[in-house]
Amino acid sequence: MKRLFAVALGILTAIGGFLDIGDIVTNAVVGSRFGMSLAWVVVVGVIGICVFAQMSGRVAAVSGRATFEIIRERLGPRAASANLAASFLINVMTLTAEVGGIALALQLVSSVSYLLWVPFAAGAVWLVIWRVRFSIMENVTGLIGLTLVGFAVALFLLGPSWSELAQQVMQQGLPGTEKATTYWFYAVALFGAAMTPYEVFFFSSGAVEEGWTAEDLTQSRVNVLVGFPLGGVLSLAIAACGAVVLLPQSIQVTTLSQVMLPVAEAGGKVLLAVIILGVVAATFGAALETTLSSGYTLAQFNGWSWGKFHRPTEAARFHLTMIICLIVGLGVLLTGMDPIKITELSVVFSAIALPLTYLPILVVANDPEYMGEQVNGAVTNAAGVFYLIVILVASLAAVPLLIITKAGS
Amino acid sequence: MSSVMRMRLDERRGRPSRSLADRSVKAVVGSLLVTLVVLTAGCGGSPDTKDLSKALLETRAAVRSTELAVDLHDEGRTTKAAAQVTVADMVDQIGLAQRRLVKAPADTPELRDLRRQCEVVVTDALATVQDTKEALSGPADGPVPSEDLSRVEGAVDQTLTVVTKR
Repeated sequence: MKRLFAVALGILTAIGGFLDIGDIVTNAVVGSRFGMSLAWVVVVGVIGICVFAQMSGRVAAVSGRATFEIIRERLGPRAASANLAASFLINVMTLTAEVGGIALALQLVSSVSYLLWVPFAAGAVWLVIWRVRFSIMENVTGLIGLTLVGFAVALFLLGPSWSELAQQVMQQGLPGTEKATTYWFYAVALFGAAMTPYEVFFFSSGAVEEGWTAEDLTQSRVNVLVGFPLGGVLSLAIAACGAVVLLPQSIQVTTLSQVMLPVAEAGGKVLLAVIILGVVAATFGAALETTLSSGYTLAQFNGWSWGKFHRPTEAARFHLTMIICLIVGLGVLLTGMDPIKITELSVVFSAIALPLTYLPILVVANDPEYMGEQVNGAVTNAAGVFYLIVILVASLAAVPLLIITKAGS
Repeated sequence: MSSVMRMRLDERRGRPSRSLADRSVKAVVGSLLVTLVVLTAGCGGSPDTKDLSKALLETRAAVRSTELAVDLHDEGRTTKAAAQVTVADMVDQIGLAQRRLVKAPADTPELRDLRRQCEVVVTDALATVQDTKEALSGPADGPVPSEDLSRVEGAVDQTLTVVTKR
């Protein structure tokens, strides 16, 4: 019974924790501009994150060490330092976007400028990391984030023409003013949002924090293979809400407040309140994960003691790194840079840096010295290599598309 | 195992994956740098009616969002705070479109005239949405007038038709 409860909790947390500000904004933007024609990217991205998340979870459970520690050892400091630089920068960028997301959601509740909420949000993230136990932190934000199921409820309440939505999925025509390059730019952005690198680092480091062993592999697989796809369904619901309400009115989403318009139309104030709670929880959870991931990557690379299982005084550099990252994110947001723009750029830069994250994981997961009998099987390797090719293509296409479309504008 | 020992061990092993990883790492880091340089250099766009129509499209989307937010507020389907934030965001969006218009190069007298028309419409839209924002900020919870928003939307649509026909 206890085991079953743990599995259910893991799945629910994975669903709630799957969505972050990048997923929410990018899916809403895509839905309002391209309808459901980019739904296939969410499917491809979700399968990809499942492949690599379960791989990195397995590495952590079998070796008892986090992915980044092994990457440095296995690939050497040179390759690992490039991996570190890219992952760390993307992490800090994503962290900034998530803190901005918390502040924007609180602004929607209070109508007080998000800039006033930013220090509060960053401070709350630090406080929770400092004081709250890992499992409580992960489960509470994940479970409250589940209220984002409200997007699926909103979609049903809107009573859309399902055949029209299905037609948008199947037919890849571009709406009136959109160009093919913009379509592909958002395809890359959506892919980057689904496969954000911090999710993998957090997943593998979290496995060490929670003391997973090879016996926990089944639970890890179930969490990933059930939780993440259900999280992907919520991503599609967000896009569909935009496609049903905003696309016909040619309203292109540029702010978080616009994402809420279909929700209010569908379910009124109650559903709006539920979704805003979900956005706060999802962005807060993701801010915790990205802050921790920043500490994890740097500490694991340098061989410092890390993890919430150590008291802060025993892992001072790990905690100092996270505080500095939060201060950097806070500083960037206080300059007045639009958090939504930061979010849009963070998902594209994530896509650019994806090969640096995923190639080393694939290499390590194939090394019998670390994995013993748990090395990748033929099917996992085939999926891993296929995704590595997709990731490389997305990464190489991201830069030209970013320039040609002027970041999707 | 110390980091120096790890490095030596890896060097002895001479693993091929490391050079592959090195190459891909260099390619990706190079791409990132190129992107940053190009973005910070402000890689320009093509200045013609595209800039004008883009600004008008953004303005129209902002006016429609405002209308939707006001309708939802009047029907009691959204909170006052959420409606206020949406309208305030739309003021900012139209402000951005207005700045884009001012910056849009217009080399011919015809294009300058067209830009002036667009500026008039966008400025009107900005003022109307600003008025709506103030009406929403008032202490009363009653309905917010939205006739002007419909008028402005019509004007933006008309100008957009003129611009896109060129």
